[in-house]
Amino acid sequence: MRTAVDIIIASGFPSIALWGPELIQIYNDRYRDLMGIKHPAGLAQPTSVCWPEVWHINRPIYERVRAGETLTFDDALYPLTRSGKLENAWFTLTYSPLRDDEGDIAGVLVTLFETTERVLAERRLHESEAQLASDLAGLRRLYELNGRLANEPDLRSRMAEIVEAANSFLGTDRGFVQLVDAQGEHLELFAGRGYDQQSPFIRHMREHGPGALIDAARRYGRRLVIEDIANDPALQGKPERALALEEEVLATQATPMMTRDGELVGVLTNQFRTPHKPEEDQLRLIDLLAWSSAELIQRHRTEQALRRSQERQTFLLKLSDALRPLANPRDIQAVAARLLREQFDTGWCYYIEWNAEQTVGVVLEGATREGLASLAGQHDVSDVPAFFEFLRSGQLLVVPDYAGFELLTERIRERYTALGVRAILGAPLVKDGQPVALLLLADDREREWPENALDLVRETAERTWAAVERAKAEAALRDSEAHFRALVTAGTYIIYRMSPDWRSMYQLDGLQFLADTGKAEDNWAEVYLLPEDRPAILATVQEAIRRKSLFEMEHRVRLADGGVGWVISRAVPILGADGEIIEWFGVGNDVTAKRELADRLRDAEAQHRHELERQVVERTAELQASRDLLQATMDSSPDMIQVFRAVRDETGEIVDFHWILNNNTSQSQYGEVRGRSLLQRNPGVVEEGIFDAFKRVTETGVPEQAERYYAHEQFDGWFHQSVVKLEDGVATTTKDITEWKNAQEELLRLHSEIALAKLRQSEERFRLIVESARDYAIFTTDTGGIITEWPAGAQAVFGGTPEMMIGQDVAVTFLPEDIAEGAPDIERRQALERGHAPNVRWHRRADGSRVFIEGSARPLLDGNGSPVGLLKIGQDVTERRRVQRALTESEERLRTLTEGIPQLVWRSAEEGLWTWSSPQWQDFTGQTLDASLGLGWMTAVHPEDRDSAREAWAAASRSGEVDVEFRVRRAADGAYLWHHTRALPVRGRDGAILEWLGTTTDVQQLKQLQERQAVLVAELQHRTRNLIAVVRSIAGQTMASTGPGEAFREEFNHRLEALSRVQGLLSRSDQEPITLEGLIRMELDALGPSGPSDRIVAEGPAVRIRHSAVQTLALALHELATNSRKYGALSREEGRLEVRWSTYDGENGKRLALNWNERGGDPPHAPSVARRGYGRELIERALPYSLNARTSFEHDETGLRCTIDMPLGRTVRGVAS
Amino acid sequence: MSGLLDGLRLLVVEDEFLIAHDLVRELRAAGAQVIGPAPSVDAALELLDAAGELDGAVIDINLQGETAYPVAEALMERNVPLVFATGYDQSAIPRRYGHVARCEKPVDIPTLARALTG
Repeated sequence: MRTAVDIIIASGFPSIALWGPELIQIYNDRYRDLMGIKHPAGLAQPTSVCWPEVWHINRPIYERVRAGETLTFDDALYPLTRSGKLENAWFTLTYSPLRDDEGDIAGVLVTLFETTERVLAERRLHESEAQLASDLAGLRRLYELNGRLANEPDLRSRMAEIVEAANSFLGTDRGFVQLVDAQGEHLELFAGRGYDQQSPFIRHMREHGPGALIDAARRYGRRLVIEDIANDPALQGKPERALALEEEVLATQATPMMTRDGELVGVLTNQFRTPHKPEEDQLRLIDLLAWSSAELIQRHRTEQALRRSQERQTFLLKLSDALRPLANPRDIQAVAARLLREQFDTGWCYYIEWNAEQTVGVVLEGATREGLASLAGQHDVSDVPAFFEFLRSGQLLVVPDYAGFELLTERIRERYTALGVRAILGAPLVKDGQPVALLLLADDREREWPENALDLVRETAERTWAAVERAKAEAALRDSEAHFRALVTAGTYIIYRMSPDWRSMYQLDGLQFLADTGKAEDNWAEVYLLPEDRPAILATVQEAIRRKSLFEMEHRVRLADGGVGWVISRAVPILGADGEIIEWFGVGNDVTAKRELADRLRDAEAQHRHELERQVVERTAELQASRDLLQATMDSSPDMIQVFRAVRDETGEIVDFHWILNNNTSQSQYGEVRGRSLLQRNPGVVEEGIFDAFKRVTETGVPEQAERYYAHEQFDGWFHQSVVKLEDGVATTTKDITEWKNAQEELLRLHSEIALAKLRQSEERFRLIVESARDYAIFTTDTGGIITEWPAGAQAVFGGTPEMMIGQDVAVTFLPEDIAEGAPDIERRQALERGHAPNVRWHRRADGSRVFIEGSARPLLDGNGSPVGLLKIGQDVTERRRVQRALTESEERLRTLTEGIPQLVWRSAEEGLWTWSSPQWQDFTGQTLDASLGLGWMTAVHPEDRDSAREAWAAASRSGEVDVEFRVRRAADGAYLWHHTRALPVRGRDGAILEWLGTTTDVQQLKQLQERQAVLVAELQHRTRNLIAVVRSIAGQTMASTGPGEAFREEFNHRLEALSRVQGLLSRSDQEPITLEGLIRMELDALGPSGPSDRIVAEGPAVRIRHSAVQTLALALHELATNSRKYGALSREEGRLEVRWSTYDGENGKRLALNWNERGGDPPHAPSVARRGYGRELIERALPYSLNARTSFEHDETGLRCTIDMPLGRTVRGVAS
Repeated sequence: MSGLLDGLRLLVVEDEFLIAHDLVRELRAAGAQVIGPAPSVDAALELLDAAGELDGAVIDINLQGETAYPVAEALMERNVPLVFATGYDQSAIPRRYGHVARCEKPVDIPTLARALTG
């Protein structure tokens, strides 16, 4: 027993001894831990009492040990409290018998060896193996899934597969994927399984986002598991909860889909129909699934982006290629629209340009799918300011459902819905803050526009706009170009520029019609205008200045040849940035011929009228003559003469007349009527008042005359009757004047015909004006403002047919805002009251567009001067403004030209490829226009100069100018004349070079002057340096003969002076020819006073000495003269000098023979002779050498004789000496 | 000064007697054998034909108003080295003769010798 206790206490392992038959427990400290709460009671307690609960297990063991066995149990589990905490512990137990002193088994020794760590490790290993197996199975499924997904191109189908897989991992049938949208802000439902798409739960999620059930996963990037939605306190009161329960969603898990880079792309959610907690290993698989989905989505998006970018590039390339060659806006819009429409297979694509007021959209041409109505034309958009407000923001117009697009009014939506439009996508173009155009895609089905469409429609819009603008700019340029050409080449235009106040004419290019003015001309009015016309013209000018608007007038001008011509002159003010007139630019058109024609026409008309009038006069004269004749007849030889006697009743009252006389004429009418009763034969006389007249004349004796129409009895005609009293009765003469009367009527008719003809003419002229004036809208209304006439001009300017317009109120041509202000009524009243009402404002065309009209309204008056209506005349001045702009541009170009000295003018593309040459160039070079184009002009350039020309162009684009000189062949004589060519680029708004404008100016004269100057300079150099050499030579030779000293100085100085005199002569020789006599006199004079002049004779004809001979000859003469003065004839009183010369014709031209004779000089053998050595050398050697002269030099007692015989022309030969 | 041009046969073309005179004297002093001087193109060409081998030529370009280029031309044809003794600037000389050495008047003999022999 003691031994056993000792062993136990000494043991490092927990041990317990069970002693005696009762198995009394004795344990050590280590075992005490295992006893837990049974210690200390357990100490010395029978084990069956201490561990009743396991007695049934332990008892058989103890019995076996007491029988002598030693038993070992591995890894028995003992839950025990350690460090105040209950935990599982595993032990290996050994039960061995304890023997007493006698060796009998008296108890059981239990020793424990703790194996908890090993057991746990083994267990963990085991668990992880199982986990691994499970994961492997899951991974295999994932792998298979990935294999399937790889073959599935559609992302939505892929996601559906993933949801399906997640469902199967988690053992449910409901799940969905939501993806983060492009902005990274919202989750959008992308694919789901097990839901009714229309269920309130799904709809709520679609419309309001993921909500409490899911959003936490997105926001914190961690999985969210809700095991029991119904009882989760956090969900109480949330709308999702009710919807989820209604949908039988009772538990859920939401796993964020994160890429490798940690980017959240979506959330994978699965839901359960019962409260449920997914297993960890299941969720691990979900993690993997979510992760690989995220990768898949990201890859998909990258691929999409790449493909879109490729598609985009391909499309844009195609677009650029297609647009590049197009020159007109319509084609550009059509092609861009067609390509974009085809790219997205939409119903329509069109490019709409808004007018400035944003009331009308114009589609020149769009693209339409077959079977759909085209949208080309004008679209009234005057009622959608909100729409334009949106466009102004520059945002894309993305409308998947057109019917519900509320920025457009119902009117517009109905209209286009009727055409089939269901969805639109548009890219607005906003320039300077205003929407100018819209590129619109439309489709006949509702559709979500793909992202690449959004991008492409914007890009295409920009490019189309750029191309259209380019085309417009080019067109404007072409217009301006055409205009410019017209200005430069057309002979009928006169171009002038005036100061802002027209006081001064800056320039006038009259093209031979008017005299040109090169400089500012202040009295231009006197020069060009006829005195009687000036007031009217200058008044119109003042009016134009006041209104800063077009000056336009047809007036007479004085021609260059002194005659008088007519021009239509139009001038526009060029306004500066401050709105003030900088100058006027005017164009005059010679209409003299037209005027003459018109004059002739007028003359012809006048002549016609004159003819009619002449007829009238003639007829009148005839009539006068016949009247006289009648009068004569009445007086002397009556045609029908009758005499009546009165028949009275008893009261004396005349009751009848009886014929008492009847002449032959009368008889032929009446037969024999003498004694007959007038009233019986001609009862009509009573009715016609003839009877009464007869009675009056009989009673009063006052004769009467009358013209009467008498159509009774046998008469029918006009008669002139004269009645005189004869006894108690009357004598009458009656003349049938029917014919005369008829003539008179004819006269009246002719008068009226003339008047009618005049009226017709005037009407015709009016009609012609009204009908032919296309750019003037002329129409009439009645006084109430109802349109009564709508001629062609009005149709052209306002649109609308006569059928439409006649009967309408004139207000239809006014803008709504003007109508609101009562403009039509005000205008009408003013026109009627004042005879004129200006009408300068925007008007409304029949198609709703606007047009700016400058015009007026005037009353139409009838014959009495009362108004019967209004005549409205107006001009569409939009065009005029355009022309004005074009003119300004032309002006700009003209100025560019002027600065380049416009001799030979041309225009060129890059690299000197000419696009136009002026007629001057063609005249000068003889090239046709076509021949000069491209590099054709180069053929007119001197072959040696072509390289310079080419080099100049090669450097042009860099230097921004061309400045080169080359020779150009003149066709007239084939001569190459030097020309200076300058060109400057014309740049577009973006600074790119559009073309070059150049001038080529004749600088031949300048060039010749330069060459002459070069020759002169060379000549001067030659002469100067030669002179120095000569001086050196003279110095040397002088020194040789005098030696140094005073004598040298004197002689050398004299010789230098002689040289100097010669140079003086030479330099003046341009003005004063050098003559032999001049040379001789100069040298003799230089000797100073030499006594009486009779000692010297110098005689000979005037002989001119050529330049190259002057110096040598002068030096020789100087030596002769000096020697004569010093030693010869002139050194003595009695000495005589004779110099005589003459010319004669030698073999090779004219020669000079000169004799120098001295008498009375020093004797020949005097020492002075040596001193003459230098002079002699000049004469005997230098003259023959340099001047090809023959000379002699003799000196004897009588004196010195020297002859010089030399050619006067150029030296032909020299001889070496 | 002797020896610079020893034994060389040189043609001199110069219309101005005094200059020609000096030049010839100086050339001779330097040991040259002078052919000429010739005052004109014709005279120079005549001499050239008669002279046989030449070692060089000194030519004034302006010969009483006519240019000496025909002489230069003939010399270049014969490969005779030549020097222009002239008042002209280089710029006044046609490009064709741009390579011909130029001695300004008055002529400095060592310079001339270098131009002819160098």
